Amino acid sequence: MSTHKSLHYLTQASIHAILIFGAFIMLLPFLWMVSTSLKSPTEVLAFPPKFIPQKKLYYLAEDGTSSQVIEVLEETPETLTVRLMGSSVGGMAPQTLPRTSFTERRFLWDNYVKAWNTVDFPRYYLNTIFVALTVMFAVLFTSSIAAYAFARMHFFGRDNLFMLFLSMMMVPMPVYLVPTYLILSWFHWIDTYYALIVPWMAHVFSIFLLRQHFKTIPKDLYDAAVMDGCTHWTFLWKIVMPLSKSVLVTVALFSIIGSWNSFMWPLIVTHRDELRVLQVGLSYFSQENGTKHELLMAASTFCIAPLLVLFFLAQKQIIASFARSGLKD
Amino acid sequence: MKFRVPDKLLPYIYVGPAYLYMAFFLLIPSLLAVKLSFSAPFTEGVFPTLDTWKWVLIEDGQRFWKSARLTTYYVLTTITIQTVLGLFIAILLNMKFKGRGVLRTIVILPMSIPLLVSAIGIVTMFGNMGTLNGLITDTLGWVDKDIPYMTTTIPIIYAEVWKNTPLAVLVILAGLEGIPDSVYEAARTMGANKWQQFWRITLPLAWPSVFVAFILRLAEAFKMFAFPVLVGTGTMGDVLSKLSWDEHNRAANAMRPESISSAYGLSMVMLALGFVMLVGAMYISYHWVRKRAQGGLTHAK
Repeated sequence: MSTHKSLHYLTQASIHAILIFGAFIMLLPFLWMVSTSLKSPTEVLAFPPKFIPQKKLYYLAEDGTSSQVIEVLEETPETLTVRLMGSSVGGMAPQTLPRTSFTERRFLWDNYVKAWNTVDFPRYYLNTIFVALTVMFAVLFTSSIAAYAFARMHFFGRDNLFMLFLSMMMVPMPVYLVPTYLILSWFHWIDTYYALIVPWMAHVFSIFLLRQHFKTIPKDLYDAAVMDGCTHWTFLWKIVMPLSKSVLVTVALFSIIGSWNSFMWPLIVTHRDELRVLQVGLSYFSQENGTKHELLMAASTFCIAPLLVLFFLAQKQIIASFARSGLKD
Repeated sequence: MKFRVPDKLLPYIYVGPAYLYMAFFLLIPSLLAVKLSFSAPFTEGVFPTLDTWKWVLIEDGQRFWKSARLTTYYVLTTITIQTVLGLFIAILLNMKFKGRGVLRTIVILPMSIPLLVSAIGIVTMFGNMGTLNGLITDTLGWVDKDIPYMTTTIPIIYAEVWKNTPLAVLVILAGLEGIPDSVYEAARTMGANKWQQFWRITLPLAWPSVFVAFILRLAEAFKMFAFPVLVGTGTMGDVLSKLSWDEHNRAANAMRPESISSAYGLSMVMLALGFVMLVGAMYISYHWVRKRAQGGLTHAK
């Protein structure tokens, strides 16, 4: 009996060990992102890299900016002669400064402030939220009615049309990029919100997911509803949709992730600064003359923070929706 | 009087919005791309002609076939790893243990991280001055010299697996959660051990969802674009959609015609379609054979 029990604990422990290791691998890029966002430019490039930033001496200027001390040349009771990193305090020339203007710091939280002030992030945030929400509602609407028709109605060419839909998942961006750009410019939509929103108002995978779920709703339910004078339309909105909450949450979340992280498309179809979205803002830190890693990572962290909150809140729904969508068929 | 849409028309109205979208932003663009690929590559206005395809497949064929092989290699390795790993993770996450919710959130986390950040992370990890080389060479001292990972296919495969396994996990987990506990209880009462339960119950019953995960990834994997462009060094990132993109950029600078870009893109779609149909046909025929075999069995009884 006791060997049985210890075996049980052993399996439990090994499962946990594997899971924790796997979770660590999954989290690693994320942790690395946060860790880099708190480092100084010199420490970012330090080799071998340290996961947790080390304690360092910093010079604090009056305007609130800080520069890392690369080397201490001379020490007196009141002053330090140092070599500073950064352009704000006269480049690399040695400077003699009072001791009181130095401080030891480990985590550079002001990277976040610097990143936030580099470009117009509040505006980009609003743009991204506006685009993401509009696209989300549009996707929810078009996908659910189309999925309902594919799951519940009989019409000529239904299955072929559905296959056509699915095969459209395979078309890569370089194929549709130029023609879509042309179509948008016929409508004079380039450099407007329409260009960011309209091409994404339906989503093939969402239709697939919703259709799979709608198929699991018993036909008797529909028959009973029809007896009570329900039409397809009222049945869909009054009965099917409330029953599909978790799938709808998943579709909504995938749609938000998609718009939140889309980068190429906004870059190509918008040029005005007022229309920039977060991802394009991020690319500002990664220019050809070098990447400001610490600022890029700080900006990335505050850019995806809302997504992480959504993820955590919707995690149960996502799993449940896949579980109930009858993907087995 | 209330207006009623005739029943025959109703379905078309329901799928209408999605179709309108698809027609404008996927179908017409794809057809335009097909038309483009049949116009002459170097002289304007000639249509239809096979010159572009001839140029892509034969005259400059070496580049094309090399890229097609590379694309297929990436797709097959990544989706195989994704499906097997996805099954493994899904089985673990289907067990009951403390902190399951948190772990499930962590597993789907890679989907939320911006591509740019992921790509820089991958390069930092695999680069010559990267974390991995630092760990293996300097810290652990297993190898004397830095290993040039970036000149291999490993970083791109790792990136694709890391980013896309969560979807496979979700789909397979869905299949696993659909297996009723009563089946396992019955198996236990009949004395089946954990190993037998896995091979005889979990795998066969989860198999359809594993297949769906595989097909979904297969259809999408050929489109891989961002990581090969952002992570790939040298010729390691030369997948078909990247060649198409390069040609598109050349066209934008008026160096080459757009038709070649379309041809590359379309050949990628055809490759993907071919593979999906092949796997689909294999699956259907496998089921057909099994059904017939079962039918034969019941007859024999």
